[in-house]
Amino acid sequence: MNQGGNEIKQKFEERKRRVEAAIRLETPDRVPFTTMVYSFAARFAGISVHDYIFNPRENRRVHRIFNQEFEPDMNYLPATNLHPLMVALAQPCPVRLPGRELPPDESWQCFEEPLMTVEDYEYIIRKGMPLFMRRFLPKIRPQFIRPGISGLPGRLKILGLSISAITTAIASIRDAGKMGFPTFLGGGFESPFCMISLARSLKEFSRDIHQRPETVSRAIQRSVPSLVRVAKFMSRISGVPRVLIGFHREAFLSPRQFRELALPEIREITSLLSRAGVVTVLHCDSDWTPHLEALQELPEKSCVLEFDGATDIFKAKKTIGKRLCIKGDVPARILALGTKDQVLDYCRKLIEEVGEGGGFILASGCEIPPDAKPENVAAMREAVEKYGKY
Amino acid sequence: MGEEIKTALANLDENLVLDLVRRKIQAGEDPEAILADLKTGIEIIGQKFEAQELYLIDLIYSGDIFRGAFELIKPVLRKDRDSTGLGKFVLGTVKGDVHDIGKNIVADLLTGAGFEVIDLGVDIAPEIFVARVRETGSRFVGLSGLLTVAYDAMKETIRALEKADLREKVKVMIGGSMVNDEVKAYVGADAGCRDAVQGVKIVKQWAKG
Ligand code: B12
Repeated sequence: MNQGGNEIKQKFEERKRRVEAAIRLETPDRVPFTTMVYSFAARFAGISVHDYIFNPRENRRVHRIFNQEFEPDMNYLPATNLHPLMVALAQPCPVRLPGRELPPDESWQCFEEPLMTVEDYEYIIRKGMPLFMRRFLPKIRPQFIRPGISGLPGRLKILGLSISAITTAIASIRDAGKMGFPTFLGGGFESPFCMISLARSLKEFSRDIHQRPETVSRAIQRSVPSLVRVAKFMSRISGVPRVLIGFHREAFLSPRQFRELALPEIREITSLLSRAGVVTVLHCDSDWTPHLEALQELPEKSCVLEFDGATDIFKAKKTIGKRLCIKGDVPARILALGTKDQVLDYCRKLIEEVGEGGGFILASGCEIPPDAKPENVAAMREAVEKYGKY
Repeated sequence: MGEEIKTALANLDENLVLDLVRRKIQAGEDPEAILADLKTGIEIIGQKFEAQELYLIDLIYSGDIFRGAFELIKPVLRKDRDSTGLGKFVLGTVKGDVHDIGKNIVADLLTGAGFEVIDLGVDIAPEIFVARVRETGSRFVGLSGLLTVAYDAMKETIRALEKADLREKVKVMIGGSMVNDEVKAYVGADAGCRDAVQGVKIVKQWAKG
């Protein structure tokens, strides 16, 4: 291998070690930085959200540009997540997409309607989530899977979409690797709790939680094994031992409801995956502060908790920082509206308090907002270099 | 029996609430009094939420129970009544933004507080806000938005109200998780709030003051 090739390989290994050490709660050479990013990267590269979503080659180019410019320690997620089928697993409700139902450069929109019925809980409990989703997909993605298509043609259509999702993912992981960037996630989707809540619509779901918590709980529990299977599969084919699972509506529960309905799900997923050598990246949207104590029950080092700026991340460090790796959480507000100095100050505080003793990855809270200022994004990278050396 | 309705609602006992409302209507009780009980129930829920005895999921559910009960009362309310109570309130999520979980909670709490809420939905263009304010004569407008790009849409909406000579006639409240004083000043609103319960307190003062 030539000189440049060796250097790239070294960088790749160095970055990988840094992030993986933080996940094992060790102290790497410095605080690692890798962050969720979609539309911001597209905008930065000057292409429309539509092309970013639907053209895998453009998608790879966008991330190449992002990685080169902002130099995270890891490329965040392979392009699968943007694939129409994957978006369905992440958002099982009707969507309007840029360049289709919306102007090409707008953010996608998601509309919850009670398309899943009370009877469907029983269906999920009897037959499992995959069979339910197969029936449900044409209802929420008529754009890709014609309603009425069933039997073999329907299955072939879904198989086709799955294969293209997989090849897209592998190509983008390889592409990032060639530039010296390991990929953080092998794939990602939503927790059963969130999937059901989105399919059912939040309003109806809030009623179900109060009126038939047992049924809800059984449907969630029944969905866990198949989800874990898919997660393991994603991890295996991508070669990345980490998978993102989006948990957000769990945060809306009371601490008691959380222990009854959400904790068993999260505990089961994280332990099953951990046993298979896969780290769960728990994407915790909204305010998880009331539930931090419950998270102490998750197996040690089994996951990375990604906070979005709404949770008290400093309290999280004190409550669970000795058991689980914490990632976050420069708020979207500062990235979009704040100044570079505000970003640097906030990152410094994060590094000093949450980064103390290791087990911390610096990132934006959830994704970098589409309208973030590029200099604010660069400031996160600057901060780990400036304040993050252990 | 008023006691029972508001406690049933505060306890999130949907079946009991609906049952009590039906029975009272049948017994010929004053629908305004039933409505008042329900509103007290929503107020208690707001207090419990602030005290962290209830959580978001409960707030969302209570709004739905309230709406169901209100549907039962509507047909028996006097047509010529001063139905507006605290007045009409035009509410919506601004153009380009579809986040509505918070906005829906605000709508329920406002209704509970005695406003007649005209909820326009999500992704609402400035022209539509203007048209609905004009049509309803509402003195209050609530703009919800969670995306930072929503601030421009809020600003445009307020400008459109100015152009239509309506700005002087309405008070505008903006809300969403990223709203602060700077945002409020930028968009030119009368008030901004990151918390539904607080926001409703402010508009109640407006309506009464
Ligand atoms: C749930 C959610 C979604 C759901 C929305 C479902 C729905 N029906 O609303 C879905 C998945 C559809 C979604 C989509 C997107 N989202 Co989103 N989403 C969130 C999330 C996780 C939670 C919001 C929420 O509902 N919270 C719970 C409610 C109760 O809180 P709330 O809305 O703040 O409301 C309270 C107060 O603000 C107030 N309030 C609200 N409105 C009003 C109005 C008035 C008048 C008053 C008085 C008070 C008030 O009262 C409420 C109760 O106290 C936030 C992150 C966060 N932590 O906020 C991101 C977030 C808002 N989303 C974000 C983004 C970027 C998006 C997308 C662009 C993603 C993408 N890559 O395409 C799309 C955009 C879609 C669009 N065009 O709008 C960003 C915004 C960043 C920015 N700078 O703009 C956030 C902050 C996450 C992030 N950091 O990336 N999202």
